Amino acid sequence: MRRKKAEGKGSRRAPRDGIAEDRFLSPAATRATSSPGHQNYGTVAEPATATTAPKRTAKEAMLEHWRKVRAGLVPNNHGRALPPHRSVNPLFDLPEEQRSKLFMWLRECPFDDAVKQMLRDQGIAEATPTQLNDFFQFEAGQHWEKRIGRAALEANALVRLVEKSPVRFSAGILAALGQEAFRQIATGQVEPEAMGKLATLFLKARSDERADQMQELKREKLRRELQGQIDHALEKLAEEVDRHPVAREAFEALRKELATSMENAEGEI
Amino acid sequence: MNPTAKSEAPYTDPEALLQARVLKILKPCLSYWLDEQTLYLTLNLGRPAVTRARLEAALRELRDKAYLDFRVDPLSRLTEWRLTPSGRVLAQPL
Repeated sequence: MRRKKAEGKGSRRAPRDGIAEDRFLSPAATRATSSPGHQNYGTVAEPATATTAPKRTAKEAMLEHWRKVRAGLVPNNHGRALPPHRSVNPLFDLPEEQRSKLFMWLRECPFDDAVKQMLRDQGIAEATPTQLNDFFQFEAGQHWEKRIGRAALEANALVRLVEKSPVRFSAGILAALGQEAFRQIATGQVEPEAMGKLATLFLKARSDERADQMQELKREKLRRELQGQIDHALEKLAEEVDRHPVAREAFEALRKELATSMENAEGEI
Repeated sequence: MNPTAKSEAPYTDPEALLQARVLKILKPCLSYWLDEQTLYLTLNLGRPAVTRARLEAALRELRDKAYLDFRVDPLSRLTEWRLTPSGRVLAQPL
């Protein structure tokens, strides 16, 4: 749940749905959350914090400028491509393992101080809240895009798996199955591994159903064979009875009793 | 002067950039439909943020140019989008 929230919005502070969107989109909402040390993306031209904020060094100003260029808040008039993320945020220089660890902390823990303490404990570089936010937003974006890409691949794999099964499905059912798998993975409702298990269960259920059908056919065949044998025996007996008219009455009673017991037996099956 | 050394001026039409972002998000979905809300959330993971109205305008324009196809899912009632073959060709270099 927390993971979905975090990856879904790209900001670990943002609550779900409407509130988060408002924070992203509405300058008023953005202003409401602004505080020293909390980067405000929607208020570029505001001089409000200029009086209280400490004076920045040239390097800090340059990094801040590039960050805004990267964010699309300021046009890139430098006539060159954007600098790589690592040049404006040391967190992007961390090795892959530490990056994933940091991303996991940020995803699970909403408190910057706690995250910073964990960074210190691990001997990882100090980071400002802005750098943490930028890092998290970038990583969350990457995870999200990977998930959408993976959703299509997993859905295709699932459809192929079902196509290989002995049971034949129509193209419409396969397309619906693939679309549902894609939808669930892309929206984070289910992990790709879980889809594999679902497919296995789906196929197992179909195979059980077919086994039940086969069993029913076998039972029906057995019933017919039994009925045939009884009819044959009765015909033979009838031939004998014809030769002894006294026994005919007893024979008719026996035939009725047999027919009744057969009906009862079928009902029980 | 070496002409290759001169970098291209950045493309600044925001609406065209937004349409390119939409195409880029829909590209890995292959032939599957992606619902509009997920598309909207994905767009807003990056900056600048995109309003719903701007997204709808971009989608409409791409649909009018036959780069996108849409449907309303009968069960969820969500509007879903995917690239048409010409949209896939357009999104190839993205």
